[in-house]
Amino acid sequence: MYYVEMLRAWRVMRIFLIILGALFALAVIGRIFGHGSMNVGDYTVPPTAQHVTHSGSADGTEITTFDDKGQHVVFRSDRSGIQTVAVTELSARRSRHSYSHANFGIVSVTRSQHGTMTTTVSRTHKIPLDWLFGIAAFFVAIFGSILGLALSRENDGHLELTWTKPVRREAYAATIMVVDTCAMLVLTAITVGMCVAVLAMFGLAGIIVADQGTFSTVSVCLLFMLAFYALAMAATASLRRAGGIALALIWPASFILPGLTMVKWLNIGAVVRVVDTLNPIAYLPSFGGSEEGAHMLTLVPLGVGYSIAALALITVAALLASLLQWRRLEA
Amino acid sequence: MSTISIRNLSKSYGPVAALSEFSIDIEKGSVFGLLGPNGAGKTTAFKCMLGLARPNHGEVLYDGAPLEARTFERIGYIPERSVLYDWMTLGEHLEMQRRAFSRFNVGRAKELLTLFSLDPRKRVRALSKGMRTAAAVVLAFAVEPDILILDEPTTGLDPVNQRAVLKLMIDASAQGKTILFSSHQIGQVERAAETIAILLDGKLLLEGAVDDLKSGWKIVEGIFDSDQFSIDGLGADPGVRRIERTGRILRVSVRSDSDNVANRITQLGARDVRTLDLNLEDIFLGAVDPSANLEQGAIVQNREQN
Repeated sequence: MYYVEMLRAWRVMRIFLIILGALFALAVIGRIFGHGSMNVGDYTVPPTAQHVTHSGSADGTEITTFDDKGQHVVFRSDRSGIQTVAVTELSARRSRHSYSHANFGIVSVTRSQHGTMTTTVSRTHKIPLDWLFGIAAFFVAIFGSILGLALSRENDGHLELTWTKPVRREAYAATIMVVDTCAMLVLTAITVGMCVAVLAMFGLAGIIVADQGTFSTVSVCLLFMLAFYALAMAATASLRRAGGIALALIWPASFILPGLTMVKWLNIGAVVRVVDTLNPIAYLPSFGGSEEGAHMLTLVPLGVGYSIAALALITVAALLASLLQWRRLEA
Repeated sequence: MSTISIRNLSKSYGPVAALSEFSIDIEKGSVFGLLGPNGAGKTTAFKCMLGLARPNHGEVLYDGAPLEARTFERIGYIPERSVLYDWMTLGEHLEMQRRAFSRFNVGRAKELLTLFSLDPRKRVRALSKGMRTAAAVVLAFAVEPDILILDEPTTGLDPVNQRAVLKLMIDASAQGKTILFSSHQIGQVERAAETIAILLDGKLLLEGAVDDLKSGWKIVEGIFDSDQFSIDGLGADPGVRRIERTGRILRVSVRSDSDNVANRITQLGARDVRTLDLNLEDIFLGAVDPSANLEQGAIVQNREQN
């Protein structure tokens, strides 16, 4: 009885995996052509280095520079132990302005008009494992919400086939939910795995850290994903073709709501804040990065435990609401 | 005991009564035909029977027990319209059925695919209307059900495949399976069904064994010299159910004493009078559309209902 949903989930997974594969291919291309054989994260002074200099600045920062294989490398290590590596090399692309700068958190790339590219990597900046799960859960939630249309899709002209199988309606719907949840968890694991692989490819696997809070934050991320799936299902279970439209409205609404909580006019913010407690995005951790590490922030300013409980409650309530609707439908 | 007992089944959609106090019994191993014009309530009846729609009141019993999830293990159903998944192949649909029904017969499914020349690798969206109907027939029959509920199972099929479906039904009945089906092809119903019921506006108009219904009625046909003939007093005859006049021809549906009516038509000046057996189409048209083909001033009586 799970067969149809398995096929349906696989169709969604396939699209997700194609996109993921394309991103991975881009990373591989970037790895091969962007930095040659250089391993940025683990960069040490190689034996072939030339023009090696060591100096110190007034604020106590130690600087090591050298040239190697057409690359000019600058190591900086300040008194607080923060280390950066800046690698300047010739680039095929020139900046149209005096320079262009792109910052990707721990990595920044600057191109000059003269055709040089400087890649700066912070060697002491850490990426908590939670981040990777947060990113993965967010993107999987987008695809998961498409899976959340399952009951709506069944309701759109297939109930005569679905409901004449020797299985109870509730059991059928529950099976759909289990299959979709498994699909989402698999996609999350693959996405996190791919992120780790990409970081490892650039010699940055070592900067991924986990601490005591990781488990709780990962739980929030996974529950966010499931809560969004459940809400999508609850919102569309009794709809037919309009299920897709409803889903298309849910996503923008969930982004707009947190913004509206800040509106003070007519006390709108206070009202929206109440509604926003049902919005999984309000509980999704955002991460305030710093050189010391990262900490989790949520729009609902309460603890992780509260977020876990709230998201679990939203998930269960939404799934139950979906089941109730499913039971009451007629073909 | 009846395999299927339907008791006082009623279903309304808002103010519209789609089914009113519908009651029939379907005997084990019989072929039961449900007839009615479009919108008569046939599909609603099927849906209520299968729990796909909630009746306002009434009950449906299968071997004396109400419908449960496990009852579907014994039921093969073909809905009125295609409900297959466009994006799935026919083979995937068969796999879906195989996993859901413990009695699914893979060999039988293959035979049926061959019978209807269906390619299991094709996606449903690539199938014609008739092929989709044939696919639904394959899915319903391959689960080896005891009860087949078939809502217009020959829609869109070519005559060869229509005949094949009819043969499948008759063979299934011979094996002791109970079949309830609806069709607009009255000839097919007449060939396959032992018992019929006629629905109109959600109400049961007529029910009985086809042979009994036919034997109780005759058509008395009179041919006049001109189309300006009188039928005075003919409608007053208690045996007359329906009078049709088309040009110089008068057709009178008669219960009981057809000889008496034949004599009266002769007295009215008919040049030639003959008595014919009623066919199912006559019974159906008489039941659902007494005014069909009548000219103005003709008398229509439907004493069967009163």
